Amino acid sequence: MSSTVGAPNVVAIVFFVAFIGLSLAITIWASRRTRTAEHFYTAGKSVTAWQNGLALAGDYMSAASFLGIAGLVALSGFDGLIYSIGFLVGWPIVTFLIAEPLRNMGRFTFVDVVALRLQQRPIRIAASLGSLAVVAFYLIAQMVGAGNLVRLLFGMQYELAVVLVGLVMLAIAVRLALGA
Amino acid sequence: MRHESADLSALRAVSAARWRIALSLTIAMMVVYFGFILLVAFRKPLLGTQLVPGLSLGMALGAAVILVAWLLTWIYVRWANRHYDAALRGLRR
Repeated sequence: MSSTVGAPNVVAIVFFVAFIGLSLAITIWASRRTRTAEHFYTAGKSVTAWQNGLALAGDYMSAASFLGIAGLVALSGFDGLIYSIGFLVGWPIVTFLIAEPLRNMGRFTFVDVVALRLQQRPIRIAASLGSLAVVAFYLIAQMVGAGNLVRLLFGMQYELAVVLVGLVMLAIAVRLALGA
Repeated sequence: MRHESADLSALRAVSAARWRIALSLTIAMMVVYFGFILLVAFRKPLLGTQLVPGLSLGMALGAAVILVAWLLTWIYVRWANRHYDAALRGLRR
Protein backbone atom coordinates (compact mmCIF):
# COMPACT_ATOMS: atom_id res chain seq x y z
CA MET A 1 0.00 0.00 0.00
CA SER A 2 1.34 3.39 -0.95
CA SER A 3 -0.07 6.78 0.00
CA THR A 4 -0.81 9.37 -2.70
CA VAL A 5 -0.34 12.24 -0.24
CA GLY A 6 2.49 14.48 -1.44
CA ALA A 7 2.30 13.33 -5.05
CA PRO A 8 1.09 15.94 -7.57
CA ASN A 9 -2.65 15.58 -8.11
CA VAL A 10 -4.10 17.12 -11.30
CA VAL A 11 -7.63 17.67 -9.96
CA ALA A 12 -6.32 19.32 -6.78
CA ILE A 13 -4.00 21.57 -8.79
CA VAL A 14 -6.77 22.64 -11.17
CA PHE A 15 -9.03 23.55 -8.25
CA PHE A 16 -6.21 25.36 -6.49
CA VAL A 17 -5.33 27.47 -9.55
CA ALA A 18 -9.02 28.14 -10.29
CA PHE A 19 -9.57 29.30 -6.70
CA ILE A 20 -6.55 31.63 -6.76
CA GLY A 21 -7.65 32.99 -10.16
CA LEU A 22 -11.16 33.65 -8.87
CA SER A 23 -9.80 35.42 -5.76
CA LEU A 24 -7.59 37.65 -7.92
CA ALA A 25 -10.44 38.40 -10.33
CA ILE A 26 -12.74 39.42 -7.46
CA THR A 27 -9.96 41.54 -5.96
CA ILE A 28 -9.36 43.36 -9.25
CA TRP A 29 -13.07 43.86 -9.81
CA ALA A 30 -13.55 45.18 -6.27
CA SER A 31 -10.54 47.50 -6.37
CA ARG A 32 -11.89 49.14 -9.56
CA ARG A 33 -15.03 50.07 -7.64
CA THR A 34 -13.13 51.43 -4.65
CA ARG A 35 -12.83 55.21 -4.65
CA THR A 36 -12.70 56.44 -1.04
CA ALA A 37 -11.70 55.14 2.39
CA GLU A 38 -15.37 54.54 3.08
CA HIS A 39 -15.55 52.38 -0.05
CA PHE A 40 -12.39 50.56 0.91
CA TYR A 41 -13.44 49.58 4.41
CA THR A 42 -17.22 49.31 4.19
CA ALA A 43 -18.03 49.26 0.45
CA GLY A 44 -19.71 52.64 0.83
CA LYS A 45 -21.99 51.32 3.61
CA SER A 46 -23.76 49.11 1.06
CA VAL A 47 -22.86 45.85 2.81
CA THR A 48 -25.83 44.09 4.37
CA ALA A 49 -25.61 42.47 7.79
CA TRP A 50 -25.80 39.06 6.11
CA GLN A 51 -22.89 39.82 3.73
CA ASN A 52 -20.84 41.24 6.58
CA GLY A 53 -21.52 38.11 8.62
CA LEU A 54 -20.25 35.97 5.74
CA ALA A 55 -17.12 38.12 5.48
CA LEU A 56 -16.46 37.77 9.22
CA ALA A 57 -17.01 34.01 8.97
CA GLY A 58 -14.49 33.96 6.11
CA ASP A 59 -11.94 35.71 8.32
CA TYR A 60 -12.63 33.29 11.12
CA MET A 61 -12.15 30.19 8.96
CA SER A 62 -8.49 30.82 8.26
CA ALA A 63 -5.55 28.47 8.06
CA ALA A 64 -5.29 28.85 11.84
CA SER A 65 -8.75 27.34 12.28
CA PHE A 66 -8.51 24.57 9.72
CA LEU A 67 -4.88 23.50 9.93
CA GLY A 68 -4.04 24.81 13.40
CA ILE A 69 -6.96 23.29 15.29
CA ALA A 70 -6.80 20.06 13.29
CA GLY A 71 -3.08 19.85 14.09
CA LEU A 72 -3.64 20.59 17.78
CA VAL A 73 -6.28 17.86 17.99
CA ALA A 74 -3.96 15.46 16.20
CA LEU A 75 -1.13 16.26 18.62
CA SER A 76 -2.92 16.60 21.95
CA GLY A 77 -6.36 15.07 21.47
CA PHE A 78 -9.60 16.96 21.94
CA ASP A 79 -7.86 19.34 24.36
CA GLY A 80 -6.80 21.19 21.21
CA LEU A 81 -10.39 22.31 20.68
CA ILE A 82 -10.04 24.74 23.61
CA TYR A 83 -8.22 27.16 21.29
CA SER A 84 -11.21 27.46 18.98
CA ILE A 85 -13.31 28.63 21.95
CA GLY A 86 -10.85 31.41 22.73
CA PHE A 87 -11.04 32.71 19.14
CA LEU A 88 -14.80 32.95 19.27
CA VAL A 89 -15.11 34.55 22.70
CA GLY A 90 -13.16 37.63 21.57
CA TRP A 91 -15.74 38.51 18.94
CA PRO A 92 -18.76 39.36 21.09
CA ILE A 93 -16.49 41.47 23.30
CA VAL A 94 -15.30 43.44 20.26
CA THR A 95 -18.95 43.91 19.30
CA PHE A 96 -19.94 45.14 22.76
CA LEU A 97 -17.03 47.47 23.45
CA ILE A 98 -15.56 48.71 20.15
CA ALA A 99 -18.04 48.37 17.29
CA GLU A 100 -20.50 51.10 18.27
CA PRO A 101 -17.97 53.83 19.25
CA LEU A 102 -16.06 53.10 16.04
CA ARG A 103 -19.18 53.53 13.94
CA ASN A 104 -20.23 56.68 15.79
CA MET A 105 -16.88 58.32 15.14
CA GLY A 106 -17.05 57.47 11.44
CA ARG A 107 -13.60 55.92 11.61
CA PHE A 108 -12.66 52.47 10.39
CA THR A 109 -9.60 51.39 12.35
CA PHE A 110 -8.69 51.46 15.98
CA VAL A 111 -5.67 53.67 15.20
CA ASP A 112 -7.90 56.26 13.51
CA VAL A 113 -9.93 56.52 16.71
CA VAL A 114 -6.90 56.85 18.99
CA ALA A 115 -5.26 59.35 16.62
CA LEU A 116 -8.39 61.48 16.82
CA ARG A 117 -7.58 62.49 20.38
CA LEU A 118 -3.80 62.21 20.44
CA GLN A 119 -0.86 63.47 18.40
CA GLN A 120 -1.08 61.85 14.98
CA ARG A 121 2.51 61.04 14.15
CA PRO A 122 3.80 59.24 17.29
CA ILE A 123 0.56 57.33 17.84
CA ARG A 124 0.51 56.13 14.23
CA ILE A 125 4.15 55.04 14.41
CA ALA A 126 3.53 53.17 17.67
CA ALA A 127 0.40 51.53 16.29
CA SER A 128 2.16 50.55 13.05
CA LEU A 129 5.00 48.91 14.99
CA GLY A 130 2.51 47.02 17.13
CA SER A 131 0.53 45.87 14.09
CA LEU A 132 3.64 44.80 12.20
CA ALA A 133 4.94 42.83 15.20
CA VAL A 134 1.63 40.96 15.54
CA VAL A 135 1.19 40.49 11.80
CA ALA A 136 4.73 39.13 11.40
CA PHE A 137 4.04 36.27 13.80
CA TYR A 138 0.60 35.68 12.34
CA LEU A 139 2.06 35.70 8.84
CA ILE A 140 4.74 33.15 9.74
CA ALA A 141 2.09 30.69 10.92
CA GLN A 142 -0.03 31.30 7.82
CA MET A 143 2.93 30.94 5.47
CA VAL A 144 4.05 27.69 7.09
CA GLY A 145 0.50 26.34 6.76
CA ALA A 146 0.05 27.50 3.17
CA GLY A 147 3.57 26.41 2.20
CA ASN A 148 2.98 22.90 3.51
CA LEU A 149 -0.37 22.75 1.73
CA VAL A 150 1.15 23.77 -1.60
CA ARG A 151 4.05 21.37 -1.08
CA LEU A 152 1.58 18.49 -0.60
CA LEU A 153 -0.59 19.57 -3.53
CA PHE A 154 2.15 20.11 -6.09
CA GLY A 155 4.82 17.84 -4.66
CA MET A 156 7.29 20.70 -4.85
CA GLN A 157 10.04 21.75 -2.48
CA TYR A 158 8.89 23.41 0.76
CA GLU A 159 11.04 26.54 0.31
CA LEU A 160 9.78 27.02 -3.24
CA ALA A 161 6.19 26.56 -2.05
CA VAL A 162 6.57 29.28 0.61
CA VAL A 163 8.06 31.73 -1.92
CA LEU A 164 5.26 30.97 -4.39
CA VAL A 165 2.55 31.53 -1.79
CA GLY A 166 4.26 34.77 -0.73
CA LEU A 167 4.28 36.02 -4.34
CA VAL A 168 0.57 35.25 -4.79
CA MET A 169 -0.26 37.06 -1.53
CA LEU A 170 1.85 40.03 -2.61
CA ALA A 171 0.17 40.15 -6.00
CA ILE A 172 -3.26 40.38 -4.36
CA ALA A 173 -2.12 42.96 -1.77
CA VAL A 174 -0.34 45.17 -4.32
CA ARG A 175 -3.33 45.04 -6.66
CA LEU A 176 -5.58 46.10 -3.77
CA ALA A 177 -3.27 48.91 -2.68
CA LEU A 178 -2.89 50.27 -6.22
CA GLY A 179 -6.63 50.06 -6.80
CA ALA A 180 -7.35 52.02 -3.65
CA MET B 1 -31.38 76.71 26.02
CA ARG B 2 -33.61 74.74 28.36
CA HIS B 3 -34.65 72.51 25.46
CA GLU B 4 -31.05 71.77 24.40
CA SER B 5 -29.90 70.71 27.86
CA ALA B 6 -32.86 68.31 28.13
CA ASP B 7 -31.76 66.72 24.85
CA LEU B 8 -28.20 66.55 26.08
CA SER B 9 -29.11 64.79 29.30
CA ALA B 10 -31.29 62.37 27.33
CA LEU B 11 -28.32 61.62 25.10
CA ARG B 12 -26.14 61.10 28.18
CA ALA B 13 -28.71 58.67 29.57
CA VAL B 14 -28.76 56.67 26.32
CA SER B 15 -24.97 56.58 26.25
CA ALA B 16 -24.79 55.48 29.90
CA ALA B 17 -27.35 52.75 29.23
CA ARG B 18 -25.28 51.46 26.30
CA TRP B 19 -22.13 51.32 28.41
CA ARG B 20 -24.01 49.55 31.19
CA ILE B 21 -25.28 46.88 28.79
CA ALA B 22 -21.96 46.55 26.97
CA LEU B 23 -19.94 46.22 30.18
CA SER B 24 -22.36 43.73 31.81
CA LEU B 25 -22.34 41.55 28.68
CA THR B 26 -18.54 41.77 28.48
CA ILE B 27 -18.18 40.79 32.14
CA ALA B 28 -20.64 37.90 31.63
CA MET B 29 -18.62 36.66 28.65
CA MET B 30 -15.32 36.97 30.58
CA VAL B 31 -16.70 35.13 33.63
CA VAL B 32 -18.02 32.27 31.49
CA TYR B 33 -14.85 31.96 29.42
CA PHE B 34 -12.29 32.30 32.20
CA GLY B 35 -14.44 30.11 34.45
CA PHE B 36 -14.16 27.42 31.79
CA ILE B 37 -10.41 27.95 31.37
CA LEU B 38 -9.86 27.84 35.14
CA LEU B 39 -11.80 24.57 35.31
CA VAL B 40 -9.60 23.23 32.52
CA ALA B 41 -6.51 24.32 34.44
CA PHE B 42 -7.43 23.18 37.94
CA ARG B 43 -10.26 20.63 37.72
CA LYS B 44 -9.09 18.34 34.94
CA PRO B 45 -10.51 15.09 36.38
CA LEU B 46 -13.92 16.71 36.84
CA LEU B 47 -14.01 17.83 33.19
CA GLY B 48 -12.89 14.36 32.17
CA THR B 49 -16.06 12.80 33.57
CA GLN B 50 -18.02 11.20 30.79
CA LEU B 51 -21.59 12.48 30.61
CA VAL B 52 -22.45 9.80 28.08
CA PRO B 53 -19.78 7.49 26.68
CA GLY B 54 -17.65 9.56 24.27
CA LEU B 55 -18.83 12.97 25.52
CA SER B 56 -16.88 14.42 28.43
CA LEU B 57 -18.14 17.23 30.63
CA GLY B 58 -15.30 19.39 29.28
CA MET B 59 -16.44 19.04 25.66
CA ALA B 60 -20.04 19.82 26.63
CA LEU B 61 -19.01 22.91 28.62
CA GLY B 62 -16.76 24.06 25.76
CA ALA B 63 -19.70 23.88 23.37
CA ALA B 64 -21.79 25.68 26.00
CA VAL B 65 -19.26 28.55 26.10
CA ILE B 66 -19.67 28.97 22.32
CA LEU B 67 -23.45 28.94 22.71
CA VAL B 68 -23.22 31.56 25.47
CA ALA B 69 -21.15 33.77 23.12
CA TRP B 70 -23.95 33.55 20.54
CA LEU B 71 -26.61 34.13 23.18
CA LEU B 72 -24.92 37.26 24.56
CA THR B 73 -24.46 38.64 21.02
CA TRP B 74 -28.13 37.98 20.34
CA ILE B 75 -29.13 39.80 23.54
CA TYR B 76 -26.99 42.79 22.56
CA VAL B 77 -28.30 42.93 18.99
CA ARG B 78 -31.90 42.67 20.17
CA TRP B 79 -31.38 45.41 22.72
CA ALA B 80 -29.63 47.65 20.18
CA ASN B 81 -32.38 47.19 17.59
CA ARG B 82 -35.28 47.61 19.98
CA HIS B 83 -34.11 50.25 22.42
CA TYR B 84 -30.80 51.86 21.49
CA ASP B 85 -31.43 52.67 17.82
CA ALA B 86 -35.00 53.68 18.60
CA ALA B 87 -33.83 56.06 21.32
CA LEU B 88 -31.22 57.57 18.99
CA ARG B 89 -33.79 58.03 16.23
CA GLY B 90 -36.00 59.78 18.77
CA LEU B 91 -33.16 62.14 19.72
CA ARG B 92 -32.25 62.93 16.09
CA ARG B 93 -35.68 64.04 14.93
